[in-house]
Amino acid sequence: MSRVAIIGCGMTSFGQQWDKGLVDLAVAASLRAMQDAGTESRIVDAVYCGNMSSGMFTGQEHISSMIADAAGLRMVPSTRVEAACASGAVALRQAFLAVKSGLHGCVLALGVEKMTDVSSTMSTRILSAASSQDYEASIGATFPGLYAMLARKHMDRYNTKEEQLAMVAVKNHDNALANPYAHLRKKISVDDVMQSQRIADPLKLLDCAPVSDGAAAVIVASEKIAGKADTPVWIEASAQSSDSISLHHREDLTTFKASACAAREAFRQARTGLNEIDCLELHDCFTIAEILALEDLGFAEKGSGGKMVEEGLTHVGGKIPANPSGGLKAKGHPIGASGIAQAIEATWQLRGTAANNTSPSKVLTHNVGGSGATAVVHIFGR
Amino acid sequence: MLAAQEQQRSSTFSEGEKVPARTWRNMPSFYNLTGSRCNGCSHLEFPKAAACRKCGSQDLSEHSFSGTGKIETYTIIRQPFNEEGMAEQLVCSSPYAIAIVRLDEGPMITAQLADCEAGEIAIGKPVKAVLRKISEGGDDGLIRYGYKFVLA
Ligand SMILES: [Zn+2]
Repeated sequence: MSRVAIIGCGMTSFGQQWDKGLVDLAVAASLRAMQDAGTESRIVDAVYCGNMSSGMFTGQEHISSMIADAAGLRMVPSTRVEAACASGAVALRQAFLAVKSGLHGCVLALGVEKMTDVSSTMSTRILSAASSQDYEASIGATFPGLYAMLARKHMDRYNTKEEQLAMVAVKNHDNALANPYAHLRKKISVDDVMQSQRIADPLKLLDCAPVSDGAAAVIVASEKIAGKADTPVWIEASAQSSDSISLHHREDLTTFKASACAAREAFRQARTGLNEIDCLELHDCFTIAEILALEDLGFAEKGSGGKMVEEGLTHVGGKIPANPSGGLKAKGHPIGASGIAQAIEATWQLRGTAANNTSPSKVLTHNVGGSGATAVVHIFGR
Repeated sequence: MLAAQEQQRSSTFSEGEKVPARTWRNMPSFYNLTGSRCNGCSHLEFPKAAACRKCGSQDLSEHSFSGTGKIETYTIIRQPFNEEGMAEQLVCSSPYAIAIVRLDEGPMITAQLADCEAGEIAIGKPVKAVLRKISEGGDDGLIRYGYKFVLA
């Protein structure tokens, strides 16, 4: 079967953008992606839009057609996909499948979230809709609360330290300093994290990704079309897995089995192994999530993710840089946009134009929905 | 169709008692910790499953859990869940504790821990279920009751 590539990238900066609505953000990113691809918008055959909760955040549903219309793509099939925080990577995967099937030659995959039109308490409640409404959210188990319980269990079983969690935040803030699109471009120390406001013990404010507005878009194209592009980046694997939505239905509270499963399938598709991957964009909605990801994807032994971060192996310039973009933690986490923004960072890394260039030959991206009920792994190469 | 649903509900509850469907259908699990037992492989689940998550069998019986167990993991939630003006208000202290409890029969359940200080909570501590107010207000204006756990 023929290959599928990313030939264009566009994103808005992430952060509080009071002057822009959801459609404004989505369209800005989409137009930039089309411009970057050097294509006319008329060659886009389909649109997939990742978004978690436009209805609850802004009251607006049916955004797929609205965005396509405003981006000059009327009459093109436009579909919204939702998988909580993994909505972006799931949209990318739908675009990949559509092109891989041969039905479409050129597809716009985008992700968007407009989060700051509601209060922070309301956004806490909306985000908790990614867990079981009846058996987790409505009894007060907030999203940070669920990840806090995973962190507590990991600390108890593997002796992971709160300071090691903090080191993930420090590293990702360092990386975001050079990224003009990042929400939190501010250097922090382990002490800053340790002394920041307690959110859900053991997680503190600086362990959490911020609430951001933003959009990201890529143009996914067939080998035939990509062959004419200057710097196509090939999607060598696109794998997705699902698990129970509730943590209490899992066998093990120190692992996301769906991440491990998606990674295994991705390595199979790409006919590659851990050793050939030299850059990672991981789902670090909370610092513990990056540690779980390093372990679940196989880059760290189970239980040793914290130690791996402490030893500096995941720094830019280290053995396997993780989140050179700043990650969700510091680049920002406009829910539906995050999975697409990871693919953009991978593309820029492989083109050699990323802010923190790591000159990789293969990049792996990992996007998680909820507390591990959806996991998506992509592998990109030149 | 709506009329038929109304009729069915009013036959379950006494005259004048109005229970919105969402609260009503969750009552067995929230009031009695009712889950299911697989008649094929004996696997227990909470809440009630449609098909056994272990063997796939659809031959399941109701099973009410005893409500005793141990803390598997926990957190103290310090960010506000309630905000003035929001209809649904969680009924709890602030901050409040949430735990995943391993029931003695095997399955796990997520619940608030009530009547305890943060310093008393630890992984492995025995707990038991109690019936408490969970929230009030909400779309239906009802006080919603359900399980919380206390240190045993
Ligand atoms: Zn069974």
